[in-house]
Amino acid sequence: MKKLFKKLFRDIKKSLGQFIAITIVSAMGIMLLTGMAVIHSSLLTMTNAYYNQSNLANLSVYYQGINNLGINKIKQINGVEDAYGRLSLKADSINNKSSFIVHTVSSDEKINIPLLKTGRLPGNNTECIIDSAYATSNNLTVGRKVTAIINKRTYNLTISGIFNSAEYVYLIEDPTKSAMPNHKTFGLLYVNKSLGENLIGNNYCNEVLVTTNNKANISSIRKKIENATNKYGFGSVILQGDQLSYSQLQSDIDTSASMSTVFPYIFFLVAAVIIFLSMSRTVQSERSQIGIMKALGISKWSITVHYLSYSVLCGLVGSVIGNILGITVIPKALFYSYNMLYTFPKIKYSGYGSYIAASTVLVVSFGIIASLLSVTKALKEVPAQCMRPMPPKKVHKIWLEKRKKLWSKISYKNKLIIRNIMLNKHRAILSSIGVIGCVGILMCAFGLKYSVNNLFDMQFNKIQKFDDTVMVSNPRPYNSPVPVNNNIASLDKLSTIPAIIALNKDVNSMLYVLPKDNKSIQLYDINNKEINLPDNGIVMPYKLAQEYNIKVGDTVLVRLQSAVYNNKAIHVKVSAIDVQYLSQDLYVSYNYLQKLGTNPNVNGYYVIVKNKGLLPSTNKYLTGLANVESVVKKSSLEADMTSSMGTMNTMVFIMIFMSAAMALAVIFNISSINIFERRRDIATLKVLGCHKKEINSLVNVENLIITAFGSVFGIIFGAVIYKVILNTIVSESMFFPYSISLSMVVLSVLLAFVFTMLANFMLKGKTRKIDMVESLKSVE
Amino acid sequence: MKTIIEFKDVCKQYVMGEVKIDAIRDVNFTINQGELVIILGASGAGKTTVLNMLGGMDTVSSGEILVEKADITKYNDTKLTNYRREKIGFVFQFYNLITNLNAIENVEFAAEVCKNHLEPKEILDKVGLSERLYNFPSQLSGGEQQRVAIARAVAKNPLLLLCDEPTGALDYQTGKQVIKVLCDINQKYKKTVVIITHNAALAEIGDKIIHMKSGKIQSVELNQHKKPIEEVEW
Repeated sequence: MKKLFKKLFRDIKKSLGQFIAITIVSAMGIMLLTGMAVIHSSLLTMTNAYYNQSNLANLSVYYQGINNLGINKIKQINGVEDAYGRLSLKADSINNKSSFIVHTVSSDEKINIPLLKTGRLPGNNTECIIDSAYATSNNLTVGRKVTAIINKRTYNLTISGIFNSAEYVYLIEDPTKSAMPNHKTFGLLYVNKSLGENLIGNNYCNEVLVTTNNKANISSIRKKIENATNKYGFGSVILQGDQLSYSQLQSDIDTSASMSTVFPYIFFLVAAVIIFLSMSRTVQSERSQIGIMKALGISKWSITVHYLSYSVLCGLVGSVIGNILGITVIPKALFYSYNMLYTFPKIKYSGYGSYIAASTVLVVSFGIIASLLSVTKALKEVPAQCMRPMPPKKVHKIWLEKRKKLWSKISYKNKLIIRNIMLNKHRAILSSIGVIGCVGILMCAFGLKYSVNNLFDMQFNKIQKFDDTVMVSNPRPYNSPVPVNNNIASLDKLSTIPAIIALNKDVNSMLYVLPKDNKSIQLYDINNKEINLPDNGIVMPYKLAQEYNIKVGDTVLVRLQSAVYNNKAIHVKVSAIDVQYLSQDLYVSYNYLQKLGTNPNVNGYYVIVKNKGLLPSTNKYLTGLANVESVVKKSSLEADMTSSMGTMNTMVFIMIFMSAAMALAVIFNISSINIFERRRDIATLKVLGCHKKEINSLVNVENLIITAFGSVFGIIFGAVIYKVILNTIVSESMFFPYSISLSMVVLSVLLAFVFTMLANFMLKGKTRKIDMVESLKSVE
Repeated sequence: MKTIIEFKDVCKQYVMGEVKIDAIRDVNFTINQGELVIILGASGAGKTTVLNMLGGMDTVSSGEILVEKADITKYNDTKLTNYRREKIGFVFQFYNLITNLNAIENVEFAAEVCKNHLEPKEILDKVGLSERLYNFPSQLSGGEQQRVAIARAVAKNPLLLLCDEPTGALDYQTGKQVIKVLCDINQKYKKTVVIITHNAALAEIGDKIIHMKSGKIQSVELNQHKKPIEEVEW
């Protein structure tokens, strides 16, 4: 037995390239599987623990003002576990430098519990607690003071504690403006109940957090709550899954899951294919040796184990490399991006063991099956049969030959190539699996990249024509004067009103009110045709229209979520459907809202400067104006968005790298087998005076044909996985256009050809090494 | 008669680790146009090395090989390839037909690359295979395959036919037939033929017999009493 192991290692040494190729492909699959699975499970475990620790609300209900009586009514509803009310407001710091989400908090209320890192909950209405990210970014510690303007009153609050919030893992001021959290300017500020009463009075609660039993039917509970508490100015219900922070994180968790389910198996399959082909070849070329081993009395079982151990070894080595990369490189790359987006506890990677074991078992069993398939046939033969040379392969006419005219026009070199492919169809098909996988993954990678680029171009160049968004602190009537400056080419009034669209479920949105003939926003429909802001209806985002089956001409109910408009509900007509990428908002003209009896106050302007060089001075002028709250450059929004897409870029690079490795490994490997099997023919061709170039082109052209063939199916395969991946990674508020562009197909196929050419280049040595004397030897 | 090949003090050394092995030493002989030359020797005598040198498949350690006055030992890789392509027609012991091409294609394939090649069909007819033109090597017997191989070599219309143990893999009768084909070609087309063999009986059919032993030429003998192959027995 020991001698057989010696033989095994010598076999590996003899065809090291092949061993490396199989190992690399296996390692890639394992790296993805373990890496993404560990990320997925760690994220999931961490968030679940975090959510449990904080007892995250299953739903939040918004009111104009509700008291304990009303809250008790909710508690009594069947299926409701617990409920408690809190104040929910937005506030600014005294110098306008930052703003806060303000909530009331108390120790006996056990939903969305702030998790204190240091200090204690606010004991009275001169104290507050702030979130740790804001504290760190602004160098605040317990005992320091924060001055905030809450509901137009100024409070000088002492920080009594610093906390983390599971509710606001993803904390962002306005998702329509920036997807990147800025903890320096936006934070959480929780105050004592007494401050709430001090501010508003007994009915200070405008939000009720509710937890439900596991099995409870959320939609029926929602109805019951609405019925029981209608008189408190019932506003809207936001389910856990629709909450921004929750859904954003969830979509990243889902992405990691989908990455660990689709791609690794492509690699395992490809690895299995190479193993199968390599083993078939090894077994075939060692037929006589198998015969000898059998004749020497070595059991079938030992011989099988001998050949199996080759693939097992490939799998194990691949598994070690893949797992090491999988648990170091991948989490590091992705958590870097995650940490920019989310504030959550340090992740402990968990469940290594099981994934390492599972992926190893998986890749090894793929290998074992593949080699079993190839070995058993040779083992069935009796020793004497094994030791005789293989009967020559039956060569037959291929269909092309029946077309005599066409066939006679083909050169002998090409006839040779075509016959070789047709006579080894299974190998050609298996090689093209590598190409299919490669092109598929590339298409998916470029598709995602293209989607993002396209989206950025649409959003920041075509839709948003303005240069600056100016927000004013005191909303003013429509006819109030606007800033005037020589640098400004155009200025459009803007009103943003938080709104809920009452569809099958309540959808949080924002109403963007603009002049009908504004120059700042150009909407487009799904066919990329321009839409003018109508004065007889609203423009509905395509994603919502699709999801809720809304057509032009339908009427929908929109509840304005602002005390200024008395939480008015209006019925609006859908006049057009536009495509929005980063958020799903309603666009409407001042004319139309005025027709419906609502006169929105202007709370901002979109500004276009005469030329980009004037931006700094214009911004200086605008920032200096009284009542101007903020001036945001479009370019900084774009920069923010770009960095929030970091995860995507990381993924795309990983995917391109891996598809290259796969294509190279497969083509190199299968061609080596091909060359090995034809070494006698090649040696003869050399003796007959064929030049190196001509001999290389025999192999190269064959590979190029296989690549062309594989590309066709690869494109189809790529289109499918691109769609699957796109669907799983897009968060609720975003819309990624699915479109397959010619350039992306061309680029993928081109790259596949480049990889093939690279493999061809690597194969040059193999044909060069074949000795002409080989042609003088007898057939084995 | 014109001398077309001249071996001048050709030596070939193989270095295996620290041991140097002389495969052939100080080999001198000439081949004239139209001659049928038999190179005889036991295995290990250096026949194959001479074949490799003559066929432009290997380089010499020292000495000169003049082919039509040009020294091929000075040739680079490309020139050597062209030399094999234009000047030499190989006949192998194990036929070495291209498995994925049929008989006529195998011949045409080789002829195609030479300038003044002969008509493939005609040659296949001459070797008695006009009925088997479209058969693949796997569908032909050993003798038939070897005849295709000879046709392939002849169709190139080379300077000389270089045959390495052409009967080695064939039975007695078939072997004789193949030698007959080679003799015919030598006579009808006035082609120079070099047969490398360990079969001493074949000496009787050659114009010139080169005996080799232990890497050296033992004797070069001109045969005045050539016998037709039919009269040779072994």
